[in-house]
Parts: sequence; C-alpha cells; structure tokens
Amino acid sequence: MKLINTSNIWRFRYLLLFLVWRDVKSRYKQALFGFAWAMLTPTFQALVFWLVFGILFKIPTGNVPYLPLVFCGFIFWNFFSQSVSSATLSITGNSNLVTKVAFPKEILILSSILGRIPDLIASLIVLLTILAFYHIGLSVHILWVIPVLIIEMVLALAVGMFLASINVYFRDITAVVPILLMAWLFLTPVIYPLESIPQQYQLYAKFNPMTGILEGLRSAVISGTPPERISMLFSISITFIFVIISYLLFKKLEKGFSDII
Amino acid sequence: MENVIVINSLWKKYKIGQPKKLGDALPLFLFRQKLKEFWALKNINLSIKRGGRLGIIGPNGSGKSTLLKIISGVTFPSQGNFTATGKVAALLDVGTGFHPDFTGRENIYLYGTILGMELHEIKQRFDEIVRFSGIKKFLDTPVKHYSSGMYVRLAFSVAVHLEWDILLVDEVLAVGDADFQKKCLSKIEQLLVKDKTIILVSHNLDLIGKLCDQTLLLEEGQTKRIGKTSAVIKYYLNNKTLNS
Repeated sequence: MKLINTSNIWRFRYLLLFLVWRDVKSRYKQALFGFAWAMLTPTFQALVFWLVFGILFKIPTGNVPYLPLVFCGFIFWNFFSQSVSSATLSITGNSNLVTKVAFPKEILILSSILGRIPDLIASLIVLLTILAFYHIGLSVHILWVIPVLIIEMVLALAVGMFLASINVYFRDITAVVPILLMAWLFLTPVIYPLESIPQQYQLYAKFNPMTGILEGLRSAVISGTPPERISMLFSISITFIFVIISYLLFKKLEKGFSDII
Repeated sequence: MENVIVINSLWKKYKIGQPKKLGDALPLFLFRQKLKEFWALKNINLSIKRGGRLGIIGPNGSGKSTLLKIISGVTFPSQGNFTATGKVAALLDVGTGFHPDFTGRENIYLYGTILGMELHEIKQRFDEIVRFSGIKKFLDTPVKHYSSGMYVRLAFSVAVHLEWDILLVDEVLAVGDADFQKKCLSKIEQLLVKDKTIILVSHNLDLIGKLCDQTLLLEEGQTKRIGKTSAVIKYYLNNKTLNS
C-alpha cells in the first residue's frame, strides 16, 4: 500500500486552490465590512483580554506584559481551533461533491485549514500593532514562526482528518467538537502563561502538542529567541504519531464516505 | 484497440439502516445485531474498448446507476476489481458535481479542476461552455436557484467541453427540453469521432439505439444480456411484454 499518494493530490492542486479561494471569498463577501471584520474581531478580542485579565483580574506574566503574551497565544490557538472545527464539517458539509464526483477527500480537509490563513494574517497585523505599542521589537528569530506554524497546521490536519472521518459515520462528533476544543483551550497555556502551571504538572502539559507549539510561537514573536528544544521535540513527535494514525483511519473510512454520508 | 474499462467479477453490497447516531449504533453493537445487506451488483464482467459506446438498460433498481458510480470512482466495489484508463467525467444525475451554493461560473471552475484541468485551460473553454449552455444570464446566480433544466444544461455543457477520455451519462438528458437534447446528441456524435468512450444509462431505448453500439441489460444487479444494441433491445422488449 502506498501510504500517501502525493501524485494524486498534486493532480488536484487546482481544485484545492479553487476551494480555498472560494471559501475565503464566501466568508468575507457575506458581511457588510468584508475583510474589515477579519481585523475588527481580533481587535475587540484584544480589548476584552486587556480589560478583563490585564486590569480587572490581574494574571501575573513575569516581565512580559499580559496583553502581547496572551494575544499572541490566542490568535495562533484560534487559527488551530477554527481549522479543526471547519475541517470536521468539511466532508459532511460537501456531501454533494462527495457522493457525485471522485477526488481525494483530504483535499476538503486541507482546503478548510488553508482557508483560515487570511484570518490569521489579519490577526497578526493586530498583534504587530500591539507589539509596537508595548515597544517590543522583533528579531531574526521571528522566522521560527514559519516552521512552528507548519507543525501547527499538520496537527490541525491530523485532528481534522480524525474527527471529519468519524463525523461521516456518527454526526454526534459535530456536537462534541466545540466542547473538546473548549476543554483543550483551557488545558493549554493560551490565556495564562506556562509558568503559572504548578511545577509537578508541567511535564503533563508538554504532552499536549499545542503547549510546545504555542510556547515556540511566543518565544519567536515576543522574546525573540528560538523555541525551546525539548518542548518542540515533544510536540513534533506527538503530532507525527497522530498524523499517521489519522491518515490511516481516514483512508480506511474514506471508501465508505459516499455510501454512508 | 485496447480496452479502456475492464471490470472483473464485480460485486457491490449496501447495508440497510446504517446508524447515524451513536445512540442508534449502541444497541446494534451490544446485541451484536447484523445490518441487513443488499447486493446492488452481482458478478459483473465487462470490457469496453477505446471509442466504444455502451448503453445500459434495465428496470428501476437493477443496479445501472451503482455501476456508473463505481466506474466514476465515487463509490468502491465490495468485491472484484475494475480499471478505467484515462480521465473519467460523469453526469451521474441532475447537477452532478455542482456545489449548490456556488454560482454557475464558480461551478464551471470547480468541475474543471475536479477533472484535473489547469485554470487557464478552463478559462480557454469558458466562453464556449457558456454559449452552449445558453444560461449566460444566470452565470452569477448560485446554482441552487436554477431549475433542473438549467442545471442539466450547464452540467452537460461543462462535461462535454472539458477534457476527458470516458464520459458517463446517467439519464440526465431526459430533463432538458427537446431542442437541448438534440444539441447534446449532435455534440456527443461529434465527440465520438475523436476516440472518446461513452457509457449511457437510459430508459429511452431510441436514444440507446441511436448512440450505442453495445448494450448491457441489467436485472436485479445481474447481467441479463450483453451484446449488440439491436439484439439486446429486442430481447428486452420481448421479455417485457411477456412479463406484463
């Protein structure tokens, strides 16, 4: 068995491109302000964070101000969480295509993840504004964002494939995903720093692949240092194992998609 | 000429009453109940040469559409195997491969890219597709607002103008009006000169008689007759009168 038929996905690259373009277009076309919403949403979110956690309930964040630290984690978490939820629905939501035409279904998962990139870029613009406001400069190590972001997307792909393929068989998954993502959010150092987790639980936190990913992104953007090696290694290995398991499951269940959906 | 489609002892099974909720699946699992099975296709053997024109006829529920779905790659056989050489385009039913929320224009690109075409190749044929379909006015309307006639017009003109080696058509022409049907037939006849292979499922025996050189008669998922179109149609009509 060929594990990944890349030539097949390559043949459908224009389909992938088209689906991403169409997804992004439809999301911004509906609302009155279009792309402006993509900027406004994270701006308001940042304001709320600043007000609630920075002023009302002060969460100690060491020598880095709360807002940049948390907002940085939050936007990359949001990218992950939205990718996973749209990927979960991407097979069942395109039943017209799945039951009528033949194409590799992982294209649908991929497109729902890539379609979230414009939102992330808009959030990054807001983040850079906040950094400038707090006089936090960028260093060359900002380039670490790219490889870490790729790991994050692979993790989203793994979780998305896993949930989407089960969702075809049991629609209960649709209801479970928001709960799962909320629990995952609070178990990950997103709105609090990693250091605030008690020492004895820190190791467990590292088994959550999102911990290393978000910490890596934070050190690249805010501290201007390379990601911490051990945490990154944890995240990469767990992501790697998970993507293989998910892909095998996806390929096994994919054959039944058009009959069951 | 070489065979473009080869099907070897192919079977297709469907399960009836597949649970969609965990709550429904649990009792099945606990009491080890088996779902009812239904064999839609039983031991189909078939080969079609390049440029061949196969008609498939048979009563409702005889497995015609299932067979096309398998050849198109949408669904998979339960047993046996098949190979289809080349790009397969399928008009499986009204609005096949169309996304209801996408506009006509977007769907042309969607379908083209699904067939593995590059964007500039689709662009090149875009005007011709629109002209043939005659729905220029509604190009930027989501196709969910189309009438079934408009759907078929667009689907057919996309399918015949894009690049493929094997075309599968399942009874969709019946939806278009007489003029459009005529237009489609002459287009198909034009294409057949160019080594294209077509499989046509229809209840319209005149159409099959006109277009297809070979015909397969399916009954309850089994091959009842296969051979020259005129002979198979004759057999089908004779048996039909005997049965009723």
